[in-house]
Parts: sequence; C-alpha cells; structure tokens
Amino acid sequence: MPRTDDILSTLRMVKQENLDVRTVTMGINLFHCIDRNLETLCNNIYERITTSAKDLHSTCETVSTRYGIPIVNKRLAVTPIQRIGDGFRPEELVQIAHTLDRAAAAVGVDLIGGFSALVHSGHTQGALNLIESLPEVLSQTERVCASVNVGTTKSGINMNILSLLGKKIIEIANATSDRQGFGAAKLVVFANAPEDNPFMAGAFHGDAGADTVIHIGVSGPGVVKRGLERFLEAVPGCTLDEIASEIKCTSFRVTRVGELIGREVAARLGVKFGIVDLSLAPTPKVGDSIGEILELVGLKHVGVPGSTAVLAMLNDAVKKGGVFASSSVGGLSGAFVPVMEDASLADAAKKGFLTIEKLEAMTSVCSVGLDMVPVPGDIDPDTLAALMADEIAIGVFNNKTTATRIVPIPGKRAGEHVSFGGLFGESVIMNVPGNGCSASFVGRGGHIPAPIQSLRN
Amino acid sequence: MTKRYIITLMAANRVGILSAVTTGLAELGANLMEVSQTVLNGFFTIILDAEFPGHRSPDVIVAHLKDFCRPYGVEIDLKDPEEEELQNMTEGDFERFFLTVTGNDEPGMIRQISARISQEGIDISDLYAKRQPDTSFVMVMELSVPLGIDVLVLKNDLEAVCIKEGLTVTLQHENIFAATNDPRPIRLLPVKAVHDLYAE
Repeated sequence: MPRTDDILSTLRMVKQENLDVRTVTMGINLFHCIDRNLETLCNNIYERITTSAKDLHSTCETVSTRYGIPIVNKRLAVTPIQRIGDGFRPEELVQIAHTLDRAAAAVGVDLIGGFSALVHSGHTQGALNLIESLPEVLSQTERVCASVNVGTTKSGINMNILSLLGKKIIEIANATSDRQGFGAAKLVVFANAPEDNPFMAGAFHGDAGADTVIHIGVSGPGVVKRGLERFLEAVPGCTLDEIASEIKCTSFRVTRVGELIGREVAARLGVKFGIVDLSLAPTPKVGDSIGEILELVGLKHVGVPGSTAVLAMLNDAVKKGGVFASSSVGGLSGAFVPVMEDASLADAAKKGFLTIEKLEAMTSVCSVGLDMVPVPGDIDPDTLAALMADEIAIGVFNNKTTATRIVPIPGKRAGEHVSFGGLFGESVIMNVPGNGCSASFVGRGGHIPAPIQSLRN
Repeated sequence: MTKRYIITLMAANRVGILSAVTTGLAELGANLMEVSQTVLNGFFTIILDAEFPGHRSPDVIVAHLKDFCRPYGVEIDLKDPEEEELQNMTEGDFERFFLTVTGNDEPGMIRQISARISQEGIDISDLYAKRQPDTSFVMVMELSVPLGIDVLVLKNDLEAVCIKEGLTVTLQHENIFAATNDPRPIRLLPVKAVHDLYAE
C-alpha cells in the first residue's frame, strides 16, 4: 500500500485544490475528406469526425471515474480548414464551419478548433476566403474556434494579414454584439503556432501528426498555490530558489496526472497519445488563479514591478517539473495570463495595477500572450492590428509561441465591465493608449522580415 | 521436510520485543517467509509466515515463544494454512483501488462500508483508519476489485452510504498514486493494448 500521506496528498489536490484535466483534445486529420464537391466534402468531414470521436466522451467519463480526476472539457482539433477548403468561396466555407459545429455537437464536445489559416510566409486566395468568412462563422456557429498563424521566427510577420485581421476582429465583435462581442473570443492570432496545442481557441491538428491523436491540457494553478501556501507556512523566510523548487515538485505531480489520463484515454480508444501541455490554465474561480500565485510570492498586486520576474520564475519552474514528469511535453506549456479568465488578473486590471503595456511585457516570459483582453468597442482597426503586431513580434523575435485573443466590446468604453460567464470570466475593459496613432505603420503592409536568429544552420 | 505456520503476536510495545520474538524463532529453527509489524496506540502487533522443521508441533512452537517472550506479556496465536479454507485471488483477476473516507467520526461507518464492499466480492487487502485530534476521521482502504465490477455504480452506492453522515468518499485506481508519487514511467492498464499500439 502506498504511504497514507501520499494517498491523502493526491486526494487533496483534487478535492481541495481544483486539480483537474482541463481538456482532453482529440486531433483529427481531415486530409482524406477533401473533395471538389462541397456537399461531398461536408459529408466526408461529418463522417470522419463522428466516427473518430464517437467514443471520446464516454471514454473520458470512464477514465475520470476510474482515477477520481475530473475531466472538464472534451474537445476536437482538426486539420486547418484553409487546407481542406482551399478553392471554396467564403459562403461555402461557412457551410463547412456549420458541418464542424454539427459534428462536434453530435459527439458531445463543447468546442472544435481548426477553422484556421497558416499565413506566416504569405497567403493564398483560400486563406483570404477563410479570413473573410470569419465574422459569419464565429457569429453563426456555437462550437467552432478559429486561429490564424501570422508569423514565425523562420519567416517573419505577415503584416498584410494582420492589417486585415484588425478589421475582421472588429467585424466579428460587431456581428456578435448581442453577446457583447463574444465571437472574437473564439479567434486566436498566433506567432509560431504549435501543431499539438490542446487548448482552445487556438487548437488545430498539424500535418505532421498521426491520423488521430489525443492531447492533454492540465490545470493546476490552485494546486501550485496551495502547495506554496503550505511551504511558506513551514518555511516563512524561504528564498526564491526554494520557492521555485517547490513549484517544480507540484508541477511534476500535476503533469503526471495529465499523462496518466491521456495515455489511458488514448489506449482505450486505440489511438496515439500525443502530448501533455503543461500550461497552468486558470479559471475565474477564486483560488485557481495565476495572479494569486504571484501575490503569494510577494507582490501586492499583479502588474506591479516584479511581476514579469516572478512570472518568468513560475513559468520556468513549471516547465522543469513537467519535463521531468513526462517525455511527451508539447503544446504551449507555460503559464496563461488570460485577463478575463483569472480573477486576480481581472481585479488588478480593475484597480489599475495591470495595464495592457505591463501585460505585454509579462507575455515575453510566458505563454500565451494578450489573452482574453477586453478592449473598447471603438478601438481603431489599425491600432488593434498594431497591438497584435507587437505581441506577435515578441514571439517571432524570441523564438517562442505568442498569441492574441483581443475582444473589442461593442458599445463599451475603457473602465466599463464585461462578463461572458463560465470559464470565459469577466473583467474591466482595458484602456489601449494611443488609439488611432498606428495607421501609417499598419497601412504600409508587406512583411516584417524574419529575424537574424532564424538563420541557425 | 518443513511445515509453514502463520503466527500472530500482540503486546504492549516495548523496546526489545522483536528481538525476543526472532531469537525464540531462531531457537526453534524457523525460517521467516513474510513479516508485517505495526504499532497502534502503544500496542505492538506482528504477523509472521514462518517455515519450521517438520517435527516441530504447534504446541511446542507456541509454548516456546510464550516462554521466551514472558517479560513482555505477549499473546500468541498460531494457524496452520493447510487446515484453513484460504481465499485465493489470482493476480490479473482483479484491480487495486483505494477507497478514502474523510469527515466526522461516525460510529458504524466502517461496518456499513465493508458490508457494501463485501456484496461485490471485493477483498479489503489493507486498511488504515484514524480519528484525528479535531475528532474528524480518515480511513484509507486498499481494495482488490474483481474485473467486471462497475466502479461507477460502486462509487455511487458508497457515496450514498457516506453522504447522509456528512462524509466524503473517493474511490481511485492505484495507478493515480503511482503516477503522482513515483518518478518511474507511468503504469497503464491494459498494458498489452498499449504495447501493441506502440509496436507499429
């Protein structure tokens, strides 16, 4: 019998510290669904998804019961639709999105990612058509998530597409104004997008993977926080390196839970196991927050001087613990700082300690980026594009993944409040300084060349 | 020609008690096969599986150990495995789960839970239960659950027993504890299916 202490500490992580498996995401290759006839293509896609994922929900429930670990979300990620739907018009791509939506509903998953385009080196007419269809897709479907990869370290940044996305994101928000612009929360703009990311809204199934694969996203800010609280009670005068060691130990245990669940789900479904994404994913629930961990280390509020340093240490410690726990680490694997989805970050934004500039600085040492950031509805499209360009540049020039999920809130100004409810949370709308001052820069278009660090051969 | 016996000894815990027991056994020519010892609330108890020369009778063994351990006031019991009907669960016919119950100390709780478990033919292979200083109660049971038992139904039934007493019950497969506390590679069931999958 394992030591009683070990049994009880594992139990405590689940019962008292909000440990869960945030998502089991099945990646599905759709390449062999391709057909020039739209109806045939849609039928192929529906058949492929509903066949591959028919047992996903029930298998997750069985494994969750077996180990006493909640699995919060079951999700799907498919081959970027730009590749599958190349040659179809925007209105036809909307029909493909409806097919994805119906297939996801049929197999009981809450979100399906992969309505995506990869345009970091340049863009095809197919990619432009997909981006053109986004306002309709994200306003008319319930489960479909979209992403656009606009930059990589190897190829630089596609500013033409960023400029277009600035306009489109505002269109998407306005198309969902009855839901406070929620459609924009289902679109991620990426630099160096990983092909095995299990988290939404940016998940898609990369070309290099197996036909069908299971990826896992763990949670765990609450576990890290409680572990740190106990450690600080026991060793009140501890140093930062001791704190980092404690975080590593907790990260190990959280990652192992994810890997066990993932491998068992994959084995039962008879598909490959892919990766565990180590990202600490907060929820709006108090006690399950990245910001609270930063405060515990010694900052009065998230966003004050020291925030970037503490976040860097946290992110690094999480990775070190996770890498020891699993040989299959992938995805984004860092600490998320989604303003609306983290009660402490939202509170710091409300009090004025966390500004969009400080948040951007913090994203240089973590994943993913300007995530779930509500901005005024009257933000200028070029300013929005420039804001995204700044974040994408951090990723491209530092050889890491960054992304933006910026949500213009129609009819609302900075300082007002917005709530999407559930896991999407709530926050004050953040001020974007210099609105309207970036038009000439964005208007130049073209391509920001790949940085010198891309030449590594 | 040898003969195996199962022996239990219990006494108030004192330094030197195990030394006395094992010395007595050595004089009887015994060879220990398996031993489990614990101290609970100041009392020492040990269960031994020992092999003796064939000519040693049970009466002689008990008398010698009692005499040798007299200073410690040890109570001794001896069983012959060949005269008992032993439960035999073959490894592979069951899976190991841990049942954890926490909450207020409610009299009769272990009785109710063990009654429900026994209906399913589940063996309780280990048990730890302790009343905490704050009068709450922690119990951990190691269960050998025969293959085919619906764990969800069992869990729901046990929750129904416990919830009315304000207790929290959790049933988890042993692999979760190996995964979170042991740095060695993840253990999985069914292992064969996984190996086949990765042998492509």
